[in-house]
Amino acid sequence: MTLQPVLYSELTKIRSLRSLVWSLALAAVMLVGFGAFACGAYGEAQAANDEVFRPLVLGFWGLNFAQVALAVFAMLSLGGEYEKGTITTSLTAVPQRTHFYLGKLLATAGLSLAIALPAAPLTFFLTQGLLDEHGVSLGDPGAVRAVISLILYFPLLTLLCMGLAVMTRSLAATLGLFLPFLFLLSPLSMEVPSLWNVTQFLPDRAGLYAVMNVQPDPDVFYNPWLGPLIMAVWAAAAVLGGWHALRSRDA
Amino acid sequence: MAPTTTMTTKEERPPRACVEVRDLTKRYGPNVAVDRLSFQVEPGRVTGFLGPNGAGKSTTMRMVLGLDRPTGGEVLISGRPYAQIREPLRHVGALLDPSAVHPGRRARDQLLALARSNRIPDARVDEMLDRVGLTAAARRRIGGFSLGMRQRLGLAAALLGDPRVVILDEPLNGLDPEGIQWVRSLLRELAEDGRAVLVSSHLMNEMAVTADHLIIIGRGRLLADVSMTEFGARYGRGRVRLRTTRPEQLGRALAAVGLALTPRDGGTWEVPGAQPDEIGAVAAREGVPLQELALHSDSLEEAFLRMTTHSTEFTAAAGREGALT
Repeated sequence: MTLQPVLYSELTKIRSLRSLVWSLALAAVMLVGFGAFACGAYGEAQAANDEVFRPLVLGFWGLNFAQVALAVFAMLSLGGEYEKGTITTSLTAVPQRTHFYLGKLLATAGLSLAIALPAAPLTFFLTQGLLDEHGVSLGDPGAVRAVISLILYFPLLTLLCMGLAVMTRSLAATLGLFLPFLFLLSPLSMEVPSLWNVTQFLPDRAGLYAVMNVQPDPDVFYNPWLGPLIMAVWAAAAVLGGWHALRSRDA
Repeated sequence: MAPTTTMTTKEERPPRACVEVRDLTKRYGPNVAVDRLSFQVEPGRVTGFLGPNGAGKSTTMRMVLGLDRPTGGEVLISGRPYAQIREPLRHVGALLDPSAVHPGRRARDQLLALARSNRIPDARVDEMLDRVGLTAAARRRIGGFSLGMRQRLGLAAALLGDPRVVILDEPLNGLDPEGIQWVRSLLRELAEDGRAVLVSSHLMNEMAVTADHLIIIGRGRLLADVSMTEFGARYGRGRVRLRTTRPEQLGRALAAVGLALTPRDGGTWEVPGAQPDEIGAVAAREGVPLQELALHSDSLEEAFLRMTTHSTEFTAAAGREGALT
């Protein structure tokens, strides 16, 4: 049995909801816009004042906001079905739940990858261009890894959020629990060295580490290239957990 | 040439599209929602699925559609479990909850997403929107729809794949009299096409004029599996209510076959101990015009209530309480 009809149907669902279209578009706009704003307005001052200037932290500053929009997009795409009760209609149309789940994951994560593919390089060249001599160029060590990691960050975060949404089957619960974690707890944990030893393995921290750093950080136990991989392990666990929940529970 | 064509049509569509419920059981912890329920939904007729609220109708329908997993027993649709049907919308059309729609989506997009998942051509969507009278609202967001419009949209979704089996959960809820009339004639049409139609309701009156066959359940158990006519003959006290412009002539003709025409208020007449088809036949023979002819359904509603009272959760709970003290 082919996935194509399910995929087409799921893309139709996403395209036909303003909330989904806007949250995804907003993720790209915030990534590019906030990064360009930060580099254009504060680039010079930051580069002059900082002991160790990290051009990618400033250039990809927008990711801190973009990831929230992206998480909302992912959670609405799947959690919205539970929220509105449309999951019963969807599963009546596609009773093979693994098919439905795969179609949903592919459509949603595929779209977030599709938007990251142009947005990530655009942000890199725009912001580093604005930083001028303080910026990094694609030829510098670590730069390619950072851009690739940024591209991967989008679909990986999407998959993670979708897995969580199926497991909780509640939009409010997923948004209420995961967004504060993403926005508040996880970043704050970086400030506490003893916590950082552990929290550097959290999905968003691992992903961001690979995105934001040209040079490896001596306090981080793993190679920056492993960041997306660690994130992928988290995403896979969430997706598998969601798959199990979807298959074993009543709709 | 013609016979060959017929043959291929038959092969594409199994001649007996039906739903077989076998020993179906659903338990939620200690509560039994559906209790060893068995019945069949035959093609070519409207099967009314009747029971008080909480009797297990929706749970049964959800198990038929593979949404909930039975604790025991099985449901087969034309010989297969629902989850094994490829492109199921082409075989089974269902409407469970007309409010389970995303309010932000336009009506047409809602149907498009469904159609595309089962490789039903987009053109069919516009066709169905037209059939349920929603063409003008096709590009409006569902959030602004009345319950009646949502029911129509749900029916369009159910009929999208031209299914041989149609399953509708309380499709008359929230409809105005005109809408109810429309759904009834739609159900008749579907049955006359040879489709198997299962329609749930908690009102006997509603089913008396809609269904050909009745499955009555209470507390998840089968209480009756009878044809509407048989149910009427057995439980309805056979009061037929009618209106006619020539009561004297009809009264004489009925008296000749041993039936009495008695006047009721509002210009209507009643014939106790009779069936509508008998009266209809007599009137036709005499050439007497009838403006109304119906089995007085209060008596059926009473029979239904008597049948289900003993089984409703409330009474049962009260009974248990009584037993404890």
